[in-house]
Amino acid sequence: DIEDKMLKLGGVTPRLYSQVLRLAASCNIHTTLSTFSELKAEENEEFRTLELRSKKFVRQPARVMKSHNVVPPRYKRQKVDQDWGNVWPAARTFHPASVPLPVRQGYPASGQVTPDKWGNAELMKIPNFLHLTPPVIKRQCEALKKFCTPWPSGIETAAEQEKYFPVMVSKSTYLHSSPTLRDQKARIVTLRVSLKSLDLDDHGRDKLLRLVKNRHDPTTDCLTIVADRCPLSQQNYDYCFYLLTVLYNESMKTEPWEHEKEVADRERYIWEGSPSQAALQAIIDSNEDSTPEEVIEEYKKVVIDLHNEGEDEPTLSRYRDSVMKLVGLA
Amino acid sequence: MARLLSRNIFQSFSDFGGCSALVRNVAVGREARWWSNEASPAVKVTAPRTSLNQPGLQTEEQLGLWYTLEQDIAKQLFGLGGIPKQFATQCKTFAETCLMIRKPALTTIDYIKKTNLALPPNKFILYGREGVGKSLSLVHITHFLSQDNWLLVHIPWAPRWRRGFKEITASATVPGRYDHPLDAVIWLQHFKSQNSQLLKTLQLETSEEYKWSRREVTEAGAPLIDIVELGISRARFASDCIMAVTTELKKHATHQRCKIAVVADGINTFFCLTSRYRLEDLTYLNPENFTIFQAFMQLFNNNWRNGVVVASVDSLANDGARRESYLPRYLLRQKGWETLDPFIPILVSNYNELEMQSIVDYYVDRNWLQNPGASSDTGRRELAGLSSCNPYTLMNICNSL
Repeated sequence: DIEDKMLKLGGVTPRLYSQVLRLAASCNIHTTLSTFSELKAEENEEFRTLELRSKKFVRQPARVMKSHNVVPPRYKRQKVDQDWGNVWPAARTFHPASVPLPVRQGYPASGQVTPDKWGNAELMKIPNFLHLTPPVIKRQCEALKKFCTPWPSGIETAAEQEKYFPVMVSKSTYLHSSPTLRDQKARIVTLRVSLKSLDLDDHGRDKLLRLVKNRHDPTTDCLTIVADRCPLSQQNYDYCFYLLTVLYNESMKTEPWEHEKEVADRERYIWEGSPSQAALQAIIDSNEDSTPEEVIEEYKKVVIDLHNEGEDEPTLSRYRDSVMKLVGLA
Repeated sequence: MARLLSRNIFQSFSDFGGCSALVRNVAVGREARWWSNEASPAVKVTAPRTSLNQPGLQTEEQLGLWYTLEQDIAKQLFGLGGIPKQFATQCKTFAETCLMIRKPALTTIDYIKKTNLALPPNKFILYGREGVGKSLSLVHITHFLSQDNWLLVHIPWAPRWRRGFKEITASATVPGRYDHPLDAVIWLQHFKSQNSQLLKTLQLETSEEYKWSRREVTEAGAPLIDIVELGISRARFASDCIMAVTTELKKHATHQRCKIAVVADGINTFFCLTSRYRLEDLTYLNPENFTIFQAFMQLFNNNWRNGVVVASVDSLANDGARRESYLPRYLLRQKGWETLDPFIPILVSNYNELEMQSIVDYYVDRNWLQNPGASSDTGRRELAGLSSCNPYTLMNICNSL
């Protein structure tokens, strides 16, 4: 074959041969040798491998990230019996590393659990009251006690407070540590009074409730007036009392057109003059035996309750029983 | 054998549309042991029936049992209305008209028996949620009333005259009133079919002369049936005939010549504020201007004797805006209350346990529920859960099973 011939012919040593090949390679001359690899093995030197086809992708070792020495979160070093007031002395945005609680907050993504506290914007956005734990509050109250005066005598119970101080006025004050100290919300004044202390008759009460609409809470029977239309709280306070005075005086008056009130305008069901009364009379008249008084009274009461208290199963069953007694079926 | 049965039940549970938790809970353990108790051949389930087909004789002992309404009586009483359509189709499928004896109907029948007829008419108002059995209770009560020789003034489903009327014409006799020519004819036929026998025996007569047109006059003293037949033949006068009939009946009842039972399904529709009829000025007519409404509303008053009013208030009978509650005072509105007070409200509620057992037995007996799992304990519980024991919902569920 070729190499043997070359060797025989020109006395070409393997060394020379390899040099030639190298030259050929550098001059991009196409050379093929079947015993190429044999020669390579024979040489065992800095014989460069000829790569004609593109190299197979050799995976490089992955970049090793340097692991920094991270300090463990603070809560791991906190004692169980530490004084929490020292850890969290004032209002502060939530800081997960300082809070030893495994709180979770937020809507979970599908298939996930509720997000934990680390990097949780939801937890950071909302106000937290970690600075107002009961022991801290107690300590602060103890500290404030020396500035307090004793509670006045004679108004210990709620009833006495209601009797001597029926009107309750409340307002909030705010202090900002920003370019301006003020807050607009400080002008809002709320006046609360129970209608029991207002000494109104039926007509007056009805009129007041119509004037006041939803400012009256039927469960507590309290009227609440909120004023914020003036820029200063003193002005709003005066306005509240002005409103209360006007409401009371208007309720006590009876206007000439109030007699035009019709059945549909009534705030509650009144028995006298109602068609139910006429129907009852018809039954009583056609009854040969006289209807007992208590049956009539019961019927009257039950019909009034059905309307004033609302219709539900108990009132309806009382109505049924009463009618059955009236008609003689019970 | 147990394995065979359990395989069948496995299949039947999957047949329930995979809707039951039972399919998932079918684990071998307890359930298989329970099924193996049913390894013996299933006992044939029969409907609990009673042979007491007269409502007047039925007592509390027959609660939950099924009694048959004979075909000819059903046709005579309810041929032109009264039985709800879906129930009627079901009866046709089952080849029989059977009603379950339930407490509200028995209570009302009991009260009717004890009524003091010298007082103004007692008004029994059945109320309850939708689909709970008010109309069928009224069917039961109507059957009793007809057997007990009461003259029936039966209004099958009143809202049909307010919402689904066939035709409305302006009344020729009273300006501002409106007639239902075709609906009035149908009602008169219904009245005649229900009461023909009784009218013959009672021989009621008109008390005054009625002039329908220049040539058509009903003399005073003519039999009442003449007015009915005139109305049937002349649709133009049918609504006025109804007015005449009801006025005459009221007079007869007050003079104790007969006892009248007014049965109205959906009575609260009489007190609604709008109907579907549009006038020329594009407003909807107030139904109190309908002649036939006026005719029947005069029977709801207190100024007659020897009568009884049995009605149902249904939230579906009201207009859509006033359907929040099923309670009678709310549904009747101010006007209805003033007309009907004092009335006796009678609650109709969903099936109780006994009635649930009874209805499932009946459906199985009629081969309506062909699934072997239907009559089993779990099947019954499943049906009760799916329908929450509401009769109408149960009927709809069973239709697809």
